[in-house]
Amino acid sequence: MKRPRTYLIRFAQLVVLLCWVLGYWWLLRDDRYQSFLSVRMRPMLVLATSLLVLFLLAVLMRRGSAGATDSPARTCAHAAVLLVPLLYMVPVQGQQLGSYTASQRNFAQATMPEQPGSSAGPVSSRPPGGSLTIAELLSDFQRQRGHTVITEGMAYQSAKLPPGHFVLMRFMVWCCAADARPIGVVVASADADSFENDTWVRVEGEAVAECVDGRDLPCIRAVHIEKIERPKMPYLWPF
Amino acid sequence: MRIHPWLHHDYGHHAEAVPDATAESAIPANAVVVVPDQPAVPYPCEPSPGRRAKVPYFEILFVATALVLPMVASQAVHLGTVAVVFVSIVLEALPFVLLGSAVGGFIEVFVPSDKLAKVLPARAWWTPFVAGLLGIVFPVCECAVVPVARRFIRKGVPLSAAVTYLLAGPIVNPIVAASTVVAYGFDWRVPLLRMAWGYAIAVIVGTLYEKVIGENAVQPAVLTRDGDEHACVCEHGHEAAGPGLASRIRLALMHATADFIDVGRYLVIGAFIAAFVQTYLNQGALARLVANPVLSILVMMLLAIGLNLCSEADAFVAASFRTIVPLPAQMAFLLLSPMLDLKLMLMYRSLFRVRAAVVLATLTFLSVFAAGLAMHFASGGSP
Repeated sequence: MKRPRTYLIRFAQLVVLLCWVLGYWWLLRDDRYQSFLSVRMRPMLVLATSLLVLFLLAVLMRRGSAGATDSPARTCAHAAVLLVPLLYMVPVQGQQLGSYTASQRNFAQATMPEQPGSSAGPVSSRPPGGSLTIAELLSDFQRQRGHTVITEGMAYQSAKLPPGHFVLMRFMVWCCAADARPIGVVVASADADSFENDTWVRVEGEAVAECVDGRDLPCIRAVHIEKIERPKMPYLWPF
Repeated sequence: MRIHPWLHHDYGHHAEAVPDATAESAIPANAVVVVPDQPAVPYPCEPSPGRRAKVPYFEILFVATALVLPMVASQAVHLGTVAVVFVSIVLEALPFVLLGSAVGGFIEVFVPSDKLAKVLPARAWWTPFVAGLLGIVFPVCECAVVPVARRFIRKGVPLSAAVTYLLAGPIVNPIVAASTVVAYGFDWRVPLLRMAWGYAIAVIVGTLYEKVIGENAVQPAVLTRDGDEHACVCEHGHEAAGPGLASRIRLALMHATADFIDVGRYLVIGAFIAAFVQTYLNQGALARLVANPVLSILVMMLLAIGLNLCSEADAFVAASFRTIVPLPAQMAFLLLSPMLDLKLMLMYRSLFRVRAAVVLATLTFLSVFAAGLAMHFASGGSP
């Protein structure tokens, strides 16, 4: 009975390794991994794929002349557990975190930056105004004040805001979606209430500091808001 | 064959012996040598007589739940978010588990026990102090240190040193220090405090743990061939005797595969539970509930356990609480997050028996809480 035991265990190992190699290949192709991970994790995914291929070769090349001490049932059960993330991964790829998650997590930028560069995000060296990400706008807000800016994000209707305001937000991902933090600016517009949660919009307007809920918050006094398609990379990366 | 007092257990007729693939003859001077009282069977190819293979109920229950849940609760609110967070945690951690497994496999095959015993001797008082610094030369997060610690234990490294490395490795390392520096806007005080307290806690817990837990700490599977599905298939002893580099690399990779599958399943189950906590826990509201600074330390520690963040990213989350909770509470979060969370608790089960894992979790939690209190009172805080 040694050979069937051995072969079943080896088969279970091969299935796990092969499925994960294919899973990583699928994620790396067309940058699908960005639905879950920061771009800086790409080298780690390449490393993981390489290691899995090496493990796979080692299992394929071993000689199966002896038995095994663990039961095939246990090995198969362990292997099945490792396949569960792959079963979840394909259907949810392309989904993104939204307003519900934002309501559950702290905004990374809740108040006015005290000085340029005091918050997360790269500091731009270009002239103020123009098209910016929310991170660039917030990290350089003192310099952007009074200028016309254009930025994109999801609408988030917060109960804390007065009528005629919504939060334009995006998620900043350091490693993976589990550590994603929402960042946002308040948008003041007569049409503000017409944008549902999680609607992607492009906002053009003047960057101002506005007192909302007892705090001075970064704000865009909108002159033009348009709905847009969700960008290919919905998350922002700080690095 | 050799035995550490804390490795003793009644598992099979030979199981207390720690097999060493590469240096059977290299027995540390301070090791306790046992002579088998019955014919030795170095690496059994079949389970011990009278011992029935355990049915993996836990894993079967998990797989069934994970498969059925999307069908019965497909319309459930935010299940998609749970799935995204679950897959994200696994994808983020798995490369490190693979890396740690590979390093562990190579340690198993290429690092003789006597060499390891020179670096981390069993009876030297300073062994945990050295183990706490290993993260500097091998900077990885908490998911990668678990398989490496398994191999350390298997090679006869003292339990105190293995536990110290397990706890300190994900904190006392340059990558985590750098991410903490960036997250806190180059306020060097925070990463320095984090590394110093992390190192101290790890050494204290590691040293105490060996004294508190005594014997029967480690999972039998870590010490015997039972944990390696490939066990006899790799013809362990036979190949190790051969000098061929290719054979030894292949053997190391097979050990790594076994570790990956054994540790990886705990990661997956832990990540699944963590995804639910992440999705349904309102982090801001929880932190804002706490006006008392001492209670805020506890709340941030519970948050660290529930969020299951990578030690290379947790500083950014801690920093987002700067305006809500005081620094000691943030530090408690930064210290506990790499040492203890839901997925790590399960991953520790791949190393320790239930009681030993609970003792480790309790000691770690209490130590970090004490450190948080010390920081609070040192900064002039009141009870």
